[in-house]
Amino acid sequence: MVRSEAELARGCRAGSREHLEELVDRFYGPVVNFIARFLGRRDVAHDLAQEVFIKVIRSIGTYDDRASLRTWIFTIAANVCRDELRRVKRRREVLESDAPELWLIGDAVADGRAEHSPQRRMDRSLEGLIIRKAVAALPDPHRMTVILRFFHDMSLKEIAQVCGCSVGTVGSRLHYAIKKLRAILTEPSFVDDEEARDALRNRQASASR
Amino acid sequence: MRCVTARRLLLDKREARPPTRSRESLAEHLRRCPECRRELAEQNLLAEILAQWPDIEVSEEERRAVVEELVQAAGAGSAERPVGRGMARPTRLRLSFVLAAVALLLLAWTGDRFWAIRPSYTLVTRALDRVPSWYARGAIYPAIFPSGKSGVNNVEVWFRKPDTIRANIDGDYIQFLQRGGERQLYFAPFKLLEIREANSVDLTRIFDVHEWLQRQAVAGVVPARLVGHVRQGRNESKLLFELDLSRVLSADPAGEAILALVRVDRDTMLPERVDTRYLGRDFWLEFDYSREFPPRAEHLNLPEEGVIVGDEIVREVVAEEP
Repeated sequence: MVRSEAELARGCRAGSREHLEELVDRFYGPVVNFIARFLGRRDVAHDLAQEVFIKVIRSIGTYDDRASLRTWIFTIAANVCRDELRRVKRRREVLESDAPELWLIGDAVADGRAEHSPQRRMDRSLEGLIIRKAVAALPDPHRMTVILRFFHDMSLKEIAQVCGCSVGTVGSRLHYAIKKLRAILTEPSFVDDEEARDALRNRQASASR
Repeated sequence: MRCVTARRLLLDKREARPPTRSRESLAEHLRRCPECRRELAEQNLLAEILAQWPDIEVSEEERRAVVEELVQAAGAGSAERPVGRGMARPTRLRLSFVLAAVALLLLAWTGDRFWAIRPSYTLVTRALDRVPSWYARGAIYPAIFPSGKSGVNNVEVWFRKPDTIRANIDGDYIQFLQRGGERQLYFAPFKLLEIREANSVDLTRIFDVHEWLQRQAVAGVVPARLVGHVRQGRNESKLLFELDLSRVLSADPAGEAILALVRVDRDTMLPERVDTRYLGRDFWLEFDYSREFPPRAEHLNLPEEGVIVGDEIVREVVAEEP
């Protein structure tokens, strides 16, 4: 039986291992993916997600059961991501376009297929790489909005809570981001691989039919 | 329904579904408005394209590790800074009052002694009391990547556990290890340079990663495996190696790996950042010690001054220190 969020929070507050396990089962994966996609860095996603959950547990006593637990956790995750971006910028480690490649390498190795034919895997993932690059090209707030909307199925209101802005702002950010992504993905100079560009064009053509 | 409302409903996943009346009027609006239909098609296309970006799978082992950390954290039971919207106002107020009262009581009770309070790091304090510094042996391969973009070498190393290292070099030519399970190291050998300047450290040996890896692999110290390569632009490619670092760290690297010295603040017992200069550039190590990584006896008699890297390099760098 799936517990309600309030029940889950109460159990975690009491230090119940069972509830902590359920918390991790339900939210750890989404948080890892949110961080990895937002920062464009798979390498730090697990560490930062862990940081998020430590913060969650340490602050669970202050969590208001009436609020959505998921939104609350994502708010903390968003703050951790912002801190990380600030930290990275401060240390002149500006995220470069290499990041998606790193993700790609991670994918290739992590699923154990790399040792057989890494290049084939890379080729198959080229389209994915372009998508990641396109998302990475969005400004931070827009990127966050897109990720929450398209990967985490959040409503405008929930996104507004996570991002700490108004629903109207979320709407305009989404609108802008969708236009921008469309423009990027159809811009020939952005996609320098012929095969991947064709694949994208075909997909767009079939979708518009 | 007006286009503005329709588009907002299209953007909002949740609101687009449950309220029947809204849904019906949205459907009606879409039937007669080609602009909004195009908007919907665009969103659907984008959703479809974005779906190509697969999720990272979280293994059972990773999940268990997180739960363990959380159980420990829950046991510690400390409250961190307020995290915002989920926090109940009365709780926040109560907490502030209690904290203020505790602080006042503490001050009244301790008087002058209050300022003598020092954090207690019992696990390492006793050993560190006897020495101003201690060594921790770690390994980064290669030592430094000169960055063509920023011109700055920033190498960060965390020794969180004896067998876990994460190195991050200028943020772009990243080598990193994943937590738990397999440990992997990625780097871009084509970015490596030879650096030879007067009064500078000759790191050629360390930078020559190909040869170095082969030598190590042949010697059986570092099992390195070429996994493949990744095309990076038209004229560059990145090689991908896999190393079993758990074996590297238990092996004696005999000067091939980096020797990191971390000085510890005697008052706070916190590790100090070690700053030094390589070729006029910043290069630092950050050290995060934990109970799993206490100083070892053989490390306790090392000189106070000194930084990073193999023996001869340590001497040169020390000589440059003011």
